[in-house]
Amino acid sequence: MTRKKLATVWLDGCSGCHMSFLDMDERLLALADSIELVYSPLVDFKQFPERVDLTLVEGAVSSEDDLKKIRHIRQHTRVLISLGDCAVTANVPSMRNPFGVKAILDAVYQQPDLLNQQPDLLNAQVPSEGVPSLLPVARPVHMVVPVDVYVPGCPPSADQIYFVVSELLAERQPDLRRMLRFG
Amino acid sequence: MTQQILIDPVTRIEGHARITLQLDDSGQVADAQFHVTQLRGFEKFCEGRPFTEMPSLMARIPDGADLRHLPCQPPDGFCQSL
Repeated sequence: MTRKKLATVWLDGCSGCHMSFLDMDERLLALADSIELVYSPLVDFKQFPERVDLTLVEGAVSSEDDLKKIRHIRQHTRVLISLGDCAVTANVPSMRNPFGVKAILDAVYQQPDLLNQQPDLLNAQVPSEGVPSLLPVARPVHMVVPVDVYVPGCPPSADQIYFVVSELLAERQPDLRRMLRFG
Repeated sequence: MTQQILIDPVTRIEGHARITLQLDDSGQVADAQFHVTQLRGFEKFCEGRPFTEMPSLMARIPDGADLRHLPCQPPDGFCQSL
């Protein structure tokens, strides 16, 4: 049997969904016979391969980098899976949306209260080079590219992830209705 | 001729980063920059929210450390005394 190509990616998230993925523990060995991990923060590959069967996406789409990445990944992925609440609803990353990018950057890099006391503090500046611009709002993955399977949870449990991946490897649409939970 | 070496992304870390190294004419490193390429703005959006949300929000800054953060929640008695 040819092994299916699996990729995992994190956009704007906390890596908790990846920790849950690792929490599959010995079941990872069971999966290892049927998958090949071709791209992931858990391994060292830096290029997303030409053709991937399953891609698990953690995190919301919040920066220009995220946008570029997810569009590229969608083009080269057969089944795209939104993994976890940040990918499914934008969750915590979307909490910045009501404030606007400028207010967020000022609060993080300028800290007005602190600068009033010490104006030359560390020569604080909003970075303009080497970092991607933030998009006006953080959005869930399906608002940017089509998504095939949704796995909510913060994080989804290892049981849910194992179920979804096993079903997809068997070419079945996973039915998560009995396994869903909030938080 | 000056040369730039870009390491993008930095792997084997939990988080998002890239590194740029600027080499001088003789091939020595003239400047090194470490860029953190993810920003969510906890510093701003936590302002004014109920303090009871903070432990669970904090555990989602980096989840790799959630088990270390959550035991730091104040016990119930502490919350009630505030």
